[in-house]
Amino acid sequence: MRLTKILTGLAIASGLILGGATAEAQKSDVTLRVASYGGVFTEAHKKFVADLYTERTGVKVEFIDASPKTHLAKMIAAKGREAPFDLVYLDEDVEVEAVDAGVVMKLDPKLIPNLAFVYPEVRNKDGFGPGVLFASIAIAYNTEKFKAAGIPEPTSWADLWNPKLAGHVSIPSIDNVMGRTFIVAAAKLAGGDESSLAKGIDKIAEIKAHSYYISSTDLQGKIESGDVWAAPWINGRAWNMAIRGTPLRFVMPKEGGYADFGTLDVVAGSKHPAEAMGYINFLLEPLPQLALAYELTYGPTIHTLAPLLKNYPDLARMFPSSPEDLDRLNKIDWHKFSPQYPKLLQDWNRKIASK
Amino acid sequence: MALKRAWGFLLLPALAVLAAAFLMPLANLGMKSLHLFAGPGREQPGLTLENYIAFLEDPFNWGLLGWTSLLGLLVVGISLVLGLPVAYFLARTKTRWRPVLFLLVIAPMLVSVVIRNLGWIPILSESGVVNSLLIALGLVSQPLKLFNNLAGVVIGLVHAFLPFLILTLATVIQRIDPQIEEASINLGAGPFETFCRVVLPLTRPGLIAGSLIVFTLAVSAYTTPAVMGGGRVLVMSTYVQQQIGTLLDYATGATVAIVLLVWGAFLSILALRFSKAEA
Amino acid sequence: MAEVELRRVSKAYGATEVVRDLSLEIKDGEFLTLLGASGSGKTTCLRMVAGFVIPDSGQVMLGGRDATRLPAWRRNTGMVFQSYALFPHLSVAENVAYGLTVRRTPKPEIAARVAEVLRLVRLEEFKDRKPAQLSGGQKQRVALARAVAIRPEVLLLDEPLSALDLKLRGELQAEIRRIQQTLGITTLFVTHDQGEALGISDRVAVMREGKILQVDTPVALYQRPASSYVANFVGTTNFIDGIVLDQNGPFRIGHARDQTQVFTAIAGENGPSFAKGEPCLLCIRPENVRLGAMHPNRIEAKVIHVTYGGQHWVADCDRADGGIMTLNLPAQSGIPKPGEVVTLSWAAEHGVLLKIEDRSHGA
Ligand SMILES: Nc1ncnc2c1ncn2[C@@H]1O[C@H](COP(=O)(O)OP(=O)(O)O)[C@@H](O)[C@H]1O
Ligand SMILES: [Mg+2]
Repeated sequence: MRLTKILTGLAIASGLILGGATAEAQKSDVTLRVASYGGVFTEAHKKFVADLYTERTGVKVEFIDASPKTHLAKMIAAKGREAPFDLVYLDEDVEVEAVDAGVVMKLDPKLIPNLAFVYPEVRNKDGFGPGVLFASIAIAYNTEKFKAAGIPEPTSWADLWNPKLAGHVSIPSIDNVMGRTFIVAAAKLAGGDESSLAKGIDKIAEIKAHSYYISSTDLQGKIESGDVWAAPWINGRAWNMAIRGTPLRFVMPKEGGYADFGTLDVVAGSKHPAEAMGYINFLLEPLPQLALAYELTYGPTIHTLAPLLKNYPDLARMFPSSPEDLDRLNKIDWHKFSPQYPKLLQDWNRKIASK
Repeated sequence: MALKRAWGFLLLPALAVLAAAFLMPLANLGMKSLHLFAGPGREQPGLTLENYIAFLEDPFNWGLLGWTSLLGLLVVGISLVLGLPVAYFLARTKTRWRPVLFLLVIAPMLVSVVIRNLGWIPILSESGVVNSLLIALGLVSQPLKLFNNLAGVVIGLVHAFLPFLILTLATVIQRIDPQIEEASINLGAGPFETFCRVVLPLTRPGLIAGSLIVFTLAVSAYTTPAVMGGGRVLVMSTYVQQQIGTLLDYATGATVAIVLLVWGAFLSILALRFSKAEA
Repeated sequence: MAEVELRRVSKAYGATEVVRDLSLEIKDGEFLTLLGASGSGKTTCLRMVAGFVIPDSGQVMLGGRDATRLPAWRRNTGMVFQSYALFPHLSVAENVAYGLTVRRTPKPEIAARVAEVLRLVRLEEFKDRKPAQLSGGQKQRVALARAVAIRPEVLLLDEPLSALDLKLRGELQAEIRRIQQTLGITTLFVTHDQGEALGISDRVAVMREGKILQVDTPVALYQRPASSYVANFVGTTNFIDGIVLDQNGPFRIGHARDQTQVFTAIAGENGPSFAKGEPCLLCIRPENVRLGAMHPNRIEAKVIHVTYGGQHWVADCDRADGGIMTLNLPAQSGIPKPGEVVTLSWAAEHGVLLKIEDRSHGA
């Protein structure tokens, strides 16, 4: 908790100093509309990114909350007309669809000098929005339930198929990015990869699952009820639950966890591309990156913070925080995944969702 | 006749609003179902019935429709069994707590669907209230799976829509002269027989209307099947939501929605016909 | 058929005692009417017999057996409701058959019985109609047929005629009586209409505030009311406040104001005893008052108005003591003019003597 105070202090100080220094810029009457996930995600971004950015530049920021798919739908619907927002937070795989649909624009690196500090793997190869949050997907399990049932700590994705866990594993639904990631993990386990994903669905169908969860909030309830003992999950939410006292551990299987990047793009047709890119640049500064990592337990995507975070092992273990972490995580080629998605959904509906 | 025409004019604004609020989205949906999917959020030009043909050609979809109807019927059936006695009691009780009882009945309607479904977790989970009770009473040895499956969806939907049925039935029962029931009892029919021979037939319009309301709500609900079904209860409505929400495939989504709408309308007309024929 | 008896029954709702320690016997085949103002507890008594009200204390006897705790549907009583309470979803025939159907009576027997009862109420040709297609009088006849179809031990009718217009009421009253006599069925009839009660019953029980004041044949009730309440409730009555001067032989009564004015009278049925000098109430029916001094009991009065009442004239006159005297004059007789001072008289046996305690009879 100590760090919160330091961060808040730093934030206020930087706001004051920078704000004072750029009094002129404050006359801007631009308002950026930012499409976000909502909940704590939006709260943290408001506090540690948007408000500070407003103080520095005078550009006001407004958040519109919904799921990435909903944002995508809106952008596609408005294509060719006025953009519904200027900036949009997306999941990595949805960004691929957004690029395909032509609703986000290439960034101007000159306006975003901080891109230079972003891990090269996380920069978009085609020049679209970079990853701004770094999460990992691995296995969360309830240590007490495992001990009581005499099941050893999971060390492999394959351990989720353990018959002793029958009826107590919740699998992320294909409707969310965790579920799509887990299909890749399962396909690899079955000897396939991103180009043979049907294998993943067949493999998942073999799990005697408790349920197929639709969101992290949904899974949280299922774990709290005691019915679910293990699940593929995302680091931030799992650690959050563990910190609040649930006997939960988040472990990397030997095949490696999966990297999951939250991206931030400028919407094609935005009237304020320069201010929007300024926002991205600001988000990639160390202070917001560190604050968000602390608040949301998602890792920074700039490498400059790695040496600092080494000094905070308690914090750093909760999210990918170094180039080594990044190397250890599997990365998914969503360009291969996306075209198969409709067919996969059919498969999922037949083999899993209606059983 | 002249008077009727005058009334017709007065109804014009209402009809216009109805058309705007109801028919236009419907027409929009209908149009979407006549185009082919061309990637997320996009459609091909040119009208076609391909989507309907594709839907009807796939036995999986028929299964989906059957499964959805079965879910609706289950919810209606259970709601009737639970709702009739409650509605009867509410309609006939003279207690001064009546307003409070009515409030209790409609309480689920006042709670958001997400909260309502979350509330079931500590009750229906394997170590939840119901299972603990059943095990303590020695009625079962293994906890029953009461949600994250069809049972959970049925429980969630019954809970959500029972108030509509109870209110509909209570209103109708309230209009039945209690002396008619006394006449039946006086003629030698016990309370249960009186209920079956007199109250039920006289409640028929309420039963039909209430059942149709619950059926329609049940087959079109998607949050509760998604949350309470644990991802393994795919019905028409969740299918629509999936096609539109994650694939951005409006064409397929609209097609499925229209099929569900037509099917629902067909069943409603059938039910109304049936009730008229009997009356 | 059977006799019915209420034995010292009481019923209270909250703090209100609706029936108080009431006893009543209806003989086998008798037509007994409960007559009383609205709220006097008539319906409650009737519903005790039917089993819809359980008395707080006392017993309900049906055919000699204690039926106090017997559920209503096991009692075999036939009830006719004021609102008819026909089953709207059933035809006339099905309504009438209802009690037999729930008794699992064989079909042919039901059909025969329904036909017979419908004939009795003269509704054979209406058997396939629904209640909504019937007039009020027809509905009530169906209700009656339905009640008697089960051959009940007792027929219970709660103000069955009050929803009907005057003419129909008379017709149906006769009809009910005819059917009751035909079947010889024990009948408890409830009404607040004294004319109805007198016209239809073997005996009438007058109720007031949960108690029965008097049970008697219509004639006795009319001619020998036991209290001023009954006298006032049943028919029209003239009252004169008096003081008992002499109770040997026929009573001699002095006018309360002017004791030189003396009347002779008899006491009511099972009449109370009076002490000499006790204040009392003298009660004379209008049809027993004559214009002119042909009888020994006389009083002077000034005519207020005379109205035509069909069979006779009705004259209201102001008495010197402030009271009003009403009398009936034969239709063909001459009538006095308003303002005219006349002498009115009546025979001693037409003066009924009542206790004074009870004068809260309004009117
Ligand atoms: N169920 C009841 N609850 C409370 N009070 C009642 C009830 N039934 C009757 N009463 C009261 O008892 C009194 C007598 O009622 P009732 O027997 O219906 O009289 P009647 O038929 O002579 O008009 C009335 O004052 C009535 O308000
Ligand atoms: Mg009454």
